[in-house]
Parts: sequence; structure tokens; C-alpha cells
Amino acid sequence: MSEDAGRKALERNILKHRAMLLARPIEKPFTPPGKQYVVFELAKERFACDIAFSDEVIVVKSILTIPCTPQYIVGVLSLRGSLVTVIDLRYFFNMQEKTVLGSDRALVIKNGDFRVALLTDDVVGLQYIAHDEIQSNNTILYNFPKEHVSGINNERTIILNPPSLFRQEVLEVNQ
Amino acid sequence: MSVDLEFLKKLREAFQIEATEHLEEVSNTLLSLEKNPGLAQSQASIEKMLRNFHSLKGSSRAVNLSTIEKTCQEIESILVEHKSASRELSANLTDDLYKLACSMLTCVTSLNLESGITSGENELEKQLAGALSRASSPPNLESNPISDYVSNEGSATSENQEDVKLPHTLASLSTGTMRVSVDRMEEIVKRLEELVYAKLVADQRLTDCDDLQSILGKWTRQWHRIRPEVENEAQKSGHKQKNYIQEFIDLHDSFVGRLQEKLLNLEISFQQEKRITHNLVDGLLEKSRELTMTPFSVLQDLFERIVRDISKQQDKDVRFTLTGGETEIDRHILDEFKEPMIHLLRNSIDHGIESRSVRQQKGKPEQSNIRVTLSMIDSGKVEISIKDDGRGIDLEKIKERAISMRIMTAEKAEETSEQQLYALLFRSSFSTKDEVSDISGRGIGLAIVKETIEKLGGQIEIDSKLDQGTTFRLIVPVRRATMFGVTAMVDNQTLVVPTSAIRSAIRVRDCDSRIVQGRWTLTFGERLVPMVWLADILDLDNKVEHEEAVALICGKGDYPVAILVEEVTGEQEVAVSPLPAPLTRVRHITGATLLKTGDLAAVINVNDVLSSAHLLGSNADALEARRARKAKSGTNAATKKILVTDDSITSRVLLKNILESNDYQVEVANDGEDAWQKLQTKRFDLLITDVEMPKMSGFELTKKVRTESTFSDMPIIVVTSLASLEDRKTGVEVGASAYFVKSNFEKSNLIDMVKRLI
Repeated sequence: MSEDAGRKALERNILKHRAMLLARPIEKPFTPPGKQYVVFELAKERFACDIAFSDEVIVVKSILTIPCTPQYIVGVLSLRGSLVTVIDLRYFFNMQEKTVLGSDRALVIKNGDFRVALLTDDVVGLQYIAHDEIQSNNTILYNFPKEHVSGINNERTIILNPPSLFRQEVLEVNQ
Repeated sequence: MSVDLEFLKKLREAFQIEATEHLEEVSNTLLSLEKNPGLAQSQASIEKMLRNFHSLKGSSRAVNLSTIEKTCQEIESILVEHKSASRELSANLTDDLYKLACSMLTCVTSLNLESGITSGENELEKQLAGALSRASSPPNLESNPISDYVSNEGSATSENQEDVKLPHTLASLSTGTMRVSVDRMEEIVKRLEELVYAKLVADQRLTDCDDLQSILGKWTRQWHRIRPEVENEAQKSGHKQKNYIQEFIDLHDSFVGRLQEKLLNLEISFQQEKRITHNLVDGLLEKSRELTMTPFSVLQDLFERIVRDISKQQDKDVRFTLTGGETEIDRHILDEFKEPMIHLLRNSIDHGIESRSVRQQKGKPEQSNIRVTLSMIDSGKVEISIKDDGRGIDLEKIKERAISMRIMTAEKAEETSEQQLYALLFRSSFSTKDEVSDISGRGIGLAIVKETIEKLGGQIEIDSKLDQGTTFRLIVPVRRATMFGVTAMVDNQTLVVPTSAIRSAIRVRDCDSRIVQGRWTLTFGERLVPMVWLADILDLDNKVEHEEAVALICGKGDYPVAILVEEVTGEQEVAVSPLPAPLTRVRHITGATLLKTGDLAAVINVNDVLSSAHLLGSNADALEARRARKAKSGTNAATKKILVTDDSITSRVLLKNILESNDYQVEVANDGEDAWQKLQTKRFDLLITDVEMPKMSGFELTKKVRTESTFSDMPIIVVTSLASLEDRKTGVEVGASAYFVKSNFEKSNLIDMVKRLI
């Protein structure tokens, strides 16, 4: 009996040794450093917002317009009982394309305690964009305030700079 | 007897909680002092502990715990000694104090609520004696830090381990109170306020059910009328068909019957639900509002300090007393009228109380008194009287002033009653003090006091006797009332106007409306009231002619204004939520609320609307002119001349550039006087002025233009860095057409404003 057990142990050792010799590291596909972005369309432009600042995509049913506010303030909506201001970036960025919106989907942005909802023509989905893909000094972006946009990638997606754009000081209405 | 016992028990219970808090604070202070010793630290700690021991002394006296009282007394005197000599607390003393605090805590914990007997008083006394003898002997360098005791709590190395162990039992014992941060509480109260919506929904459901019933009722009535005919027709037709029809009629009848029954059941259950919801919500709201009630005495320290500071500054000897400080008032209300109260106190010291020498001459005691007394009056209101024994209000002076300001003629002044004359004091720019001090006398204060009090739904009265003193009597509600709002349609939007702001609502066609001196007015009661469209103020479109509109008569006292809306659709309870970030403050809008339908609606800020209503009205025929202007909107801007007045060259250039880039012709002036000169020589369409300027301020300039010039109807925009409410009001009062705050300087905004005015 003991001889049998001894042989089994030996066999196991040999197998283990062989396995170690044959072992190869798992090949990981190379990914350049970058981030996940939520991509949305607005006035025929594609915008990307860092997913860390994107809270959720909501379907807008009704918005209460608030009189006496700048044009980029669309109004407020009730999101599960708390009020959120809805913003139309087209007016904020002075974009020419001022047509009727193509969808009822809005992207809720959260920067710390600051929360707003952005109107969109369409929320395209998630996309991974590498850091080195983003060109920051592109002349195409001349009509966007530099501090609010981090750059543009090869697919002409404009990458927003949420910490700069989505702040009380930038969007505040205080009359 | 049993009542007394019950009372004593309650008292002891309260004492136990309070004393525990004080003692825990003391031990925390001592511990942190031990960690960071130093003179400054030590002094701050002494200050803190003095307060604790002082209160503890008082309350232990109330429950007859003489040992604790004595201990506190002794500790106090040691601390006071250290404080006045600005000496540091020695480590030994710190340690002794800590031990004493712990023993006291043991004492307090062991307090029998029924008998009032504690154990451990002897122990405490012994310890106190020891500590006192040590304190009087010179400080020993050998220290015995308390942290040893704390960190080694578990081990039994120290001989009097038991004494210093903080009694933990009390934590589980103190079921009486719980400390919750105000923010969290407010959050909950705010949420509760939103429950109003549940009430609205319940109401709405019942209404819907009624509607359904009446529809069905109509159907049934019709059917009963037509049924014999249908049956007749059926008789005539063939046998088979007849059966079919009869079958259907029977089916229909039983179907409708069932429907009616179900609906009736529904109605009953809805009614029940409504009742329950209303009871629950109202009860909860009432209770939650009570939670945030705070005794008035929380303001006592603040008031005392203010009185002391100002009287010192003016070299007056003033004693401040507060009675009825235990009266509880809603935190928000308390917060709102804190400022007016401070203002009145300042007024009393500055205007009312005479200087020492004058008091001596008059044979009054040198020390003067300001007494604040609170007393509850019926139905949840409190009367607060602020009484001083100063010079009183000189009615003759008021008359003189009123005559010199051309408010009334000399003859009329004689006829005017005392109260009416006092009422003049509440008018802005009316001050009887000959010179303006930096404390009071600018004449704007009382106007704001009155406005704030009225906003809270309260009132204010003055009573005064010459050389005997003045009493201001404020009557304010102690708790917030549920807010109601009138729902009104403007430009297909439902807006909510707070009911409290509306004095009356009338259809314009039912009263006399016409143009008087170039301005639309309507006759309300016996007076002409200016009319404005809410739509105009909010930059919305009008859907109806003014004859079809409903006029909401708003505005305080002497200045009613008719605000026109297309239709009034109802009234409901509202719970206003402030607008979310980044909407910090939106002109004319207070917030949003849920309607019965579940939709959101904007709530109108009537105060904002009123001030702009006055402004729009100040231009001749504003209603018509504005619409005409809107139509052509800036086509002839090139011909418009604007005078920009600002002492800062940067602002001047900035404003000039902005305006010129919008094709306005711009001239600049360095200060008010310069501007006034320029205005004499040339005609301008608009004046834009800074407030703080040398020689003549923007407010003075505005006032001058309004009162002294031939072009008094020229629109004036006041641009300033001052954003305070008071300044805004001053601007409005002196006759500014619009007010613009530099800090939120936004180019397009200013241009919008300019376009709207010229």
C-alpha cells in the first residue's frame, strides 16, 4: 500500500514539474492609458464626458421652464423627488445649430455636490478614449472656451473638461 | 404633594442629563489640554470650563446637591484665580480637576430620581479637600498625567482606579434626549414639508372619482330616457334579434350597476384615505415644526454683547434685561427677525438713551435700562417689547421733519394722530437724528425692520413718552404657517403666487380701468392702482387682452399694485423647494413646487415683482411703450446716448466698451457731481451709475435726478459691487430703474437691461 502511495506522490511531482516548465504568462492585450467616456450628440457634434462625472442617463418627461434665466438654462426637472437644473450646452457654447432636440434623453452630470442635467440629441454610449488620442490644441475647437474643453480625438469627438465646466461659478445664475 | 414629587423627578432627570453633558465637556477639555498644553490653550480651556462649572453650580443648587455645588464653587474660584493671573493650569491641577469631574459624574449618575439621594458625595468631599490642599501648596513639578489613567483604564495599577473611571452606564441610561445636528433635522423637516403633495394627491383622486361618477351618472340618466324606445324597437323586430337586444340591455344594466357600486366604494375609500393622509401629514408637519422651535434666549448673549459694545462705544451705561426668554420660536423666524431686533436695540441706545450728562441734568439715574420682554398672546403669536428709559420720541421733531420733507403741511401735521406720526418713522429716508452716525440715523433701518416683520406675518408698533422712554412692540407668529398659493396661468404656464401676498383678486373687466398720466391703472376700493402684466415682468407672452385678465392686488399698505394674469385656476397648499444649483437667485422666482397634477410650477417672488412693477411704472405708459419697443428691439440704438458714471477707470472703460460695441453713444463721468454737471448741459437717454463714489454717491445722484431735474423720468441703472438687500432697497427707494451687481457682471445681461429700458 505504502509503495503505491509513494509512486502516486512521485507521479504528482513529475507532473507538477512538467507543468511549471510549460507554463507561460497570460498574454494581455496592450491598452494605452486612457479613460471611459460617455459619448453624446448635440447639434451634430459628438461630445464625450468622463464617466467619473456622468451620473446617469435619464428620459426627460417634463421640464419646468424658469422665467428670467439665461438661455442655456432650460429649466428644472424633478429627479426622484429632488430638483435638478437642465442645461442646454448649445447656448452655453454659442453653437450655430439651434434646432429642435433629437431625443428626450439627458445626461446627469455630477461634480462633487454639484449636479446638472445636459440635454442631448442622442446618448451614443460608452467609449474608451486613450489619453494620447486627445489633441488639445486643435484649431477646430476655436469656438469653444479652452478651459471647458480638454481636446478632440480623431473621430472628431469633443472631450469636455467636467471639473472646469460643471461648476457653480461657471453656470451660476445669481440676479 | 404628588405633583411636586413628579415635578422634582422631572427636574432631577433634566439635571442628570445636563450635568452629564457639562461634566463630559469638562473632561474632554481637560484631556485635550493635557495633550496640547500651553498658556493660550490653558486660558481658553479655563474659559470653557468656567462656563460649564458655573451652569452646573446653578443647576445643582436647584436640585439640592450641595456637595456638587460646593465643589463647583471651589473649582470656579481656583479657575478664576488662574484666569486673572493668566497662569497656566499645572499638570497636577489638571489631573485633580479631571478626577473631581469624574467623581461628580459618579455622583450625578447615582442620583436617585425619586428620593434625590446620591451616593459618593462623601468620596467627592474627601477628594475636594485633597485637591484644595494640593492647589494651595506650591505646584509640584512631578506630574501625573491623566492620560495614564485613561489609557490604563483596564489594568489595575492605579490605586484609585475606580474613582477616575468614567461611568459608562449613563450612556444607556440617558433615554431622555438625543443630540441630532441641526442640518440633519432641517433636512428631515424639509422632506416632511414635501408630504403636502401626498395631501394634494389624495384630494385630486377624490375629485377624479367624483368626475367619473358624474360622467357615469349622465350616461345612466340618458339611458333611462331612451331605454323604453330601444325596448319598443326591439319588440318590433324579429324574435331572434329581440332576444339579442334584451340580453344586451340586461347585461348593460348589470354592468353599469356594478360600475356605479365600485365607484361608490372607491369614493368611500378615497375619502377615508384623504382623511387619514390629511391627519397624518398635518400632525407630522406640526410636530416637525415644533422640533425646530428654539427658545428666544439663544439670542440673549448676542444681544447683551451688542448692547455692551455700543453703549461702551458711546460712553453710556446701559443695563440689558430679558424676560420671557424661554418662549419658543421657530428657528427660521428667529433667524429672520434677529437683524431687526439688533437694529432696534442699536436705535434705542443711539437715538433713545441720552448721554450721561444729559441724564444727570434731567435727574435720571445714570444707568439706563433696556428691557426686552416676551409674552405669548393668543393663537401662536408672541409679543416682543423693547423698552428703553431714554428721551422718548419727540413728536414735534417728527412734525418739523415731515413738513420740511414736504410729506405734509403744517396744518395737517397738527391734525395728525400720534400713531400716524410714529408711522412716518417707518418710512425710508426719514430720520429725526440730526446727524448720521455709523450706527444708525440713516433713516433706512426702520423701514426694513417693518418690512421684515411684515414679511413674517407680524406687525410693529411704537409707543413713546417724551423723556420717559420708547417702547417698540413687535408681534410675530411663533411658528411657520403652512403656505398656500394661488395657481395662475401666464403664457400657458401655471405659476404659483403665494396667497399671503395677495390682498384681493378681481377680473379687470369688472372694475374701472383706464390710463391715468400715461399709465394703466384700475380702481380698487377708492384708489387708483397701477397695473402690470406678470407676463411682461417675467418676459413671457400675453395671451389675452387686459379686460379678460384677472388682477391680483398685491403690495403692502400704501402701495398696492395690480398684477395681471390670464386666469386664476385655483388655490392649493404648497411646499416650496428652492431652485437647484446653479440657480442661486433668479429674479422674480422663489422656487418650485408640485401642483396637484404632479407637475412642477414656479413660485413667484412677489417682493421682486413689486419692486420691478414700480420701476416699469415709473416710465410713462410703460406697458404700451415696452411692447412697442420689444417689436422694434434695438433698431435705433445708435441714436441713444448713455452717460456712464464710475470712479474706477477700469469699470468705466469696461462699461463704455460693452455699450459702444452695441452701438450706443457713450459719455463718461468720474463721480456724481461730474455727472450732474454733464446732465445739465446735455440730454441723455440713460444714466448708468456706480454707487460708491467720491463727492456725490450714485444714490445721491439718482435722488437728485429724480427730484430736482427736468428729466426726472430718465431711466437709471445703478451698477455696484454692493449686493446687499439693503442697498438694493436703497436703490429702489431713491428711484433707480434697475439694479445691477458688478460681481455677477455678465455682458449680455447688462445689454438686455439697457435694451429693456431705452
